[in-house]
Amino acid sequence: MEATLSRPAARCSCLLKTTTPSTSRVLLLPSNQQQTRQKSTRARHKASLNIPPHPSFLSNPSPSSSSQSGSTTLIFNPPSSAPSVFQTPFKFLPKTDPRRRATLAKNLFSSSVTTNFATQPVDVSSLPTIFDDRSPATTPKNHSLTKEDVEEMRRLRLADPVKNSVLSLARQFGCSVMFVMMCVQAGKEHRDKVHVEPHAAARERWGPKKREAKEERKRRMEMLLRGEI
Amino acid sequence: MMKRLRIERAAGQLLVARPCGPSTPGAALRSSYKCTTSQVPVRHSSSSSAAEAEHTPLYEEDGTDHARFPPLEKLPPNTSALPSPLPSRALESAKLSALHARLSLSPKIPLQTLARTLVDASADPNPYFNNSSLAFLGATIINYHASEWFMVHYPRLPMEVLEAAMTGLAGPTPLDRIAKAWGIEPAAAPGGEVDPGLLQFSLDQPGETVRGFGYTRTVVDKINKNNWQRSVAARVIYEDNLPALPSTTKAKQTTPAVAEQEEQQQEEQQQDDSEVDYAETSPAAPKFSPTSYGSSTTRELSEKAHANFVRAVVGAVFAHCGREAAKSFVKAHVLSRQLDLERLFAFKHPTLELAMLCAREEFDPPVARLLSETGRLSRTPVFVVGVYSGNEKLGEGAGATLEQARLKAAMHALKAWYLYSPGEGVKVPSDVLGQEEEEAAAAGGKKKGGWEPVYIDIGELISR
Repeated sequence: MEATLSRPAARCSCLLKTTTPSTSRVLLLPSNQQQTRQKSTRARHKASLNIPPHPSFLSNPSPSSSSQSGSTTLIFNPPSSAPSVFQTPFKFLPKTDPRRRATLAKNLFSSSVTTNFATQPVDVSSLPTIFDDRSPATTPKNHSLTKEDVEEMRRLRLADPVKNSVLSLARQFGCSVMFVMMCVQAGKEHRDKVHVEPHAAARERWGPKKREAKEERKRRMEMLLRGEI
Repeated sequence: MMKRLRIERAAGQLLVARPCGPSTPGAALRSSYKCTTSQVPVRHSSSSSAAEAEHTPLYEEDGTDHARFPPLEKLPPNTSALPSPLPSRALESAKLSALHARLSLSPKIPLQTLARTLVDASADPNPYFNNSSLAFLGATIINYHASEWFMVHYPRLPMEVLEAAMTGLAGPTPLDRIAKAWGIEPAAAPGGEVDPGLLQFSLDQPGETVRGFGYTRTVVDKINKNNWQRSVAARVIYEDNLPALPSTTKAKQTTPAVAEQEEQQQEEQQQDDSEVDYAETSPAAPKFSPTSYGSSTTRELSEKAHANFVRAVVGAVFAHCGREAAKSFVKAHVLSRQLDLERLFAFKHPTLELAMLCAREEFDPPVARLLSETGRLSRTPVFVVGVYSGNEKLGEGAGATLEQARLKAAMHALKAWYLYSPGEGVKVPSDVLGQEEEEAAAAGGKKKGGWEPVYIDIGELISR
């Protein structure tokens, strides 16, 4: 053995190997399947196991004074869990709610937020966003589209719905996807041609496993929207 | 006709008290059933054969051979011809007294009224003897208190969720459970000879119950004629209460369904003499387990009868003890039940709905941000996504893909909006109903407001 393994089971196997070499061949896995730790990887594995304790265990305000006085400190470090729905965010509280007045100053003048995972407050804008085309936040909105613009949009979409897709028109005119869809709807033939026919042809080729997997995925999405998973 | 054998009375035949109850005003109406209450029941002694010979013809209407199966209880003559037991027999029933004591009902509520609450409209069609009027009264009281509680404690609930919550708290299923928790046993078949302490309903004919008073709006006919789609709000305004009261139209609709199902069962039995498969006969009844007794129709009728009994008891409490007693009764038995409101929600496009909410309330548009992740390239990754409006986190969700986590975060934010509650200690309107009167009486002309207006939401985000 090149390295000392920290797992108890591995230690047992080491013992077996050293003491009874005849039985170890039977008990242990063949050498090509056996997990081995090389010297080159040992330090890395040890380092990854070396997890620092949670900050709540470390942040003792004055360890010398507490040890002198013998006072006990309360450590609050609950296991991670999904946040409760019944804790209403500050923005959702109505203006008459007394809880709003209690936390008004704190919420108005802070630009950074402590997440559950970071020890230090993190600037919200530094967190990576998840791109969503339809989200109004990520789409630049042009609220000054004229009637001519809308007419042009309609003409383009109806002339060549494949080339002038909803997304490309939204980017071209600087409006949201929803607005394009509100202004103009491509014909039913186009919808069938783009969304139904190619998928129908592909669906024909699906085997039972793929079909089942697709159905399960659909079912999972329905369960998700019902809040069951 | 099946008869319930009362084994507990078999030994104490001689210990049964003589029927000597006070004649109730309703009892005089029994004359329509060709039975005079003034007729004193003759004492029946088992030792005299002459008396037996005298009385046997009286019991033979239902075809029971009373020489072989002598009645366990001395009943007044012509009893088995009646559709429900005489009100005077309520005083003899041990079951009724036990129920009265178990529910800690006030002594103001007589046993005769409690006996009447146990007679369903399907057992006795006469509204003077069945519980339909009491059940209607009780249903309005239960629905009022439940809806008032929801309105004040969760002012932003959408109508659909409110309807589901009302059905979950005060609908037929929870009321049926309450009746069973009270220890109510159904009689095998209704009749004048059964113990008045048993719940009596018929599985053969659905009874007509009082659905509502007042007038029906003419719009409803037009809506029905044109088959227009209607929202929950429109249904509440034009037609139903929340949840729907026992309706006559529904009862009428069940009749062909019962016949159809019986036909189906007969056909199946003719085809093969095996037992009827529940999966085939009742595919649309998932709330009952396939091992439970009866068919889906009979279980539905049983549930309806049990629920109407609970409503009738509430109505009786209101009629005899007043508003406050009825309120505390409803609070103790109906409103105290647990209901997980969070699980009643289902969304279609949560992210879009949240964006619409933020636009309506003039918040910053919601942005989904990745808070933490693990195992992105593994088989079981976990992403934690938060939805932010400006600097404020509205919701958070964890999922196996970024899309799932984002949807869950949006749903969480929406639920947090809809399930806003001003707190536990908020007063409902009925809390200050008596206070205001007292204060007005005490202060004379000087009126001091005991009611603080509660928060009322401006309306639904998406009309459904």
